[in-house]
Amino acid sequence: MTEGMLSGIRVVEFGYAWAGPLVGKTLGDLGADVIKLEQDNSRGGHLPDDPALRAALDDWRRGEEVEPTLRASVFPEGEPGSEPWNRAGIFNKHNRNKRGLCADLKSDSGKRIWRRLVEASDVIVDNFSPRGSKSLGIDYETVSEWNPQIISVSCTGYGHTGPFRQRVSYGPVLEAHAGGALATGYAEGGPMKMGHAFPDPIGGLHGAFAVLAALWEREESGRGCFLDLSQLQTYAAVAGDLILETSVQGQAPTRGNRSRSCAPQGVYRCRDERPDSRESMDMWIAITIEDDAAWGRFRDVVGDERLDDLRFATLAGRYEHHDELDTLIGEWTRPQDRFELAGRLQAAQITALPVMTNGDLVESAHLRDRGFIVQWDQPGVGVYEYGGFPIHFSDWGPPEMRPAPLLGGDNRQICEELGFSAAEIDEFVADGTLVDRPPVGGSR
Amino acid sequence: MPETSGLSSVRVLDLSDNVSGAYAARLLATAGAQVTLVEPTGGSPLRSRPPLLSSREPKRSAAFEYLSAWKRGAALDWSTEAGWSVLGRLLDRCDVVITTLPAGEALDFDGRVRSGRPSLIHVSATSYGLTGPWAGWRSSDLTDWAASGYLYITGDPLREPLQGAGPWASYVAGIGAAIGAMSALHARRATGRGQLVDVGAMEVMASAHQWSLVMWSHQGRIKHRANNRHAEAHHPVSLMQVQDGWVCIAAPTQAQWVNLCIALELPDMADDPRYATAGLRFDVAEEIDGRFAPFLMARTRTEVVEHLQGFHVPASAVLSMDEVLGDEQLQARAFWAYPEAAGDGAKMPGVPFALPSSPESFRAAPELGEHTRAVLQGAGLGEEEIASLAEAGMIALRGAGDD
Repeated sequence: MTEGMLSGIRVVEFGYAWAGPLVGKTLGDLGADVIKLEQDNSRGGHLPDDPALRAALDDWRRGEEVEPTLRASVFPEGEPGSEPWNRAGIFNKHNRNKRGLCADLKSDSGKRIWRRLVEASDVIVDNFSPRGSKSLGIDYETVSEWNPQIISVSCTGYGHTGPFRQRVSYGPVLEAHAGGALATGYAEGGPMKMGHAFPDPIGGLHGAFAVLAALWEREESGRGCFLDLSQLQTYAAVAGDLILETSVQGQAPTRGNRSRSCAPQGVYRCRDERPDSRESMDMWIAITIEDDAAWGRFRDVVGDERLDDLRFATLAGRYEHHDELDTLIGEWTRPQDRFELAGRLQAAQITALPVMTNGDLVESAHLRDRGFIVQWDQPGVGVYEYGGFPIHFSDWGPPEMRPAPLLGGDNRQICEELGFSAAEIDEFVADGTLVDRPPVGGSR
Repeated sequence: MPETSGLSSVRVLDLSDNVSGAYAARLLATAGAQVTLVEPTGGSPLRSRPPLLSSREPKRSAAFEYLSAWKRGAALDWSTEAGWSVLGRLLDRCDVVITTLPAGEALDFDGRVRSGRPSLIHVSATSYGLTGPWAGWRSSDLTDWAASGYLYITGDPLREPLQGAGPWASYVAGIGAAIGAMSALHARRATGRGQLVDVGAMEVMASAHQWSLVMWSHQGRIKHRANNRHAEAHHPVSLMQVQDGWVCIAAPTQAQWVNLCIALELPDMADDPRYATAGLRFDVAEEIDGRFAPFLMARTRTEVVEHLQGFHVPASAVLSMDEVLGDEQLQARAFWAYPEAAGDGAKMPGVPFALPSSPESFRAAPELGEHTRAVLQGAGLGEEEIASLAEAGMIALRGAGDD
């Protein structure tokens, strides 16, 4: 194994969904030893006797549109297989470069394992609500008594203090609360949520930064700390300029795809495609004309004399007649291939880019040239492609890609490292403290 | 200098003129690092970046005031040979330099500044990164959204795709750049060597997708826009209308769904097999939302949210930025900073999360040249040298007692 940038740092990640696992994934990519701590129902929804799943598995036939119950998990080729909890693309994507420990923390044996894990680790990551972390015994008060050097980062929705600290949330809920949803939308329409739960990656990346800063601090002070990270705050932080504007101007930001400093700017339809060999799909290009010089270059490429109209010669004129310009530009882009067109416009020093689909990102020549698209052999799944690590270091990397852990896949090895004897570990397995399968009988 | 501890011993030069680099430097500053913004004598381009605040003349940029808080500011033209040599003396005394130069210039800059300074860390924040076929391509906030893959999946499926309200791809790249800077600092502790850290917004954003990339690589399916629903197998995770506006309600799990149905006084829906999973519910979302509507439209945002949270169903009002400014949770957590020079009532996010080394008090964005003299003195330049640089127009000073 190549020496990672964070070699020697052990992280226990007790996260679910996205933000917490993203903290763990980022630290794991950087070379930390990340132990993903799960409970037997952590990968719930894939429980073998969940009646809805059972029905879906029975009904499902290869080659048909993926049954909705199975869509959420993103199984390879839509096939859940005999151990669906180990085959979900969405889980495996978020949890590479981690080892897997699945233990019942509420049992006496589980508490012993947890304590030794805390004593042997540098960082604990969770994204449980304050109530949840207290009831699991993973709160800072408890763990810092066992290991004063521990850095505990809790990436909750609202934070551990304040009147809403007990509220439950997901990313889109926080996006609404932080003003992002109402600020986003078509010029004349209502609020619009982002295509993914955007506060999660924003919270998770901030969380990874916070851990790195706290580790640095600990090197000098010798002290650990508790990091109370609120995803509401980290999302509001990336809207800082809009919030400041509102505080002074007293008005909501403008919406839509136009720019406040230049015109025209828009998203224009190109030739449709059939990327997945099924239905025809709409494809688009984004274009920004920064100034008069760029407008001149753009007119040269388009070659439509209607654009030479003096009404469009100035920025003010282009703003005033933006609708008309959008129509003319849209007519021009409509039959064209978005990649070929973007290339032509960029060659003429015009800011333009194809509106990338998820398929475009994976197939992107640019991302592949940079080594961003990676693959690994996921046990029980096979070799598939994934997004890689987005930070490039001249002196290190790219990071090794180790598969996501099977549920409880490293139970024995980790317990051995924590100093438990083979007989003790056998007992943990026998009494159900250590497990490697979801519980039978539905989610708890 | 007071005795330094933690990140306060880390010195950062921020040469960036776009949001991504500036936000990376701001994050490092809010974690306690000493950050110096070095801008041209005519002012950073960020000083004229929208949104512009009209309450004072000359108009200030909200982006600059926000992104430059907690930084000291020096004005220096380093495009000339003499200016470059002064920059070199600043670089001699710093740990991390952040740039947002276009690819070719960034690599050239890197070669020049890191030769002879083996421990210097250079963090480059750009749209596409420094290598690859698109490295030299032009970008805007909108094309950053296009490159990120978020644009295609946000908005109405029957209309054009929609960008987010702010330059958030750049902000996300900035977080990536700050992670890169900290990682390189940790690595340097072991190796003694600095390095080039190359961060592109396109890749950081591509990493910030929940399942789209595996949806293609595992199933060959394109992810579509879904308006205010969460696609393609999750319902409800949606914005819904109530009496006085909108709320977001999220109940993807079985337990949340059951609680939601009980809370909305529609218990029969909890047992209906057609609604048994979030995926099944997504395919009949219209029907479900129609059944929820009478309850929701008879109540306000506050009533609905407090009611649902009482049933442990994730929910929030859709707030305007104005309402966010008055939010009791953010107020209770002392989240706000007050940059008075930006205008009456000016209020903005402060430290996003508190680290032991985070600054205790607020420091507003620097006026142009506010700390030039102190920064140059700190790099060992004498009064005469500073005076002659000022005379030659290579630096801008402001006031007599700056800093």
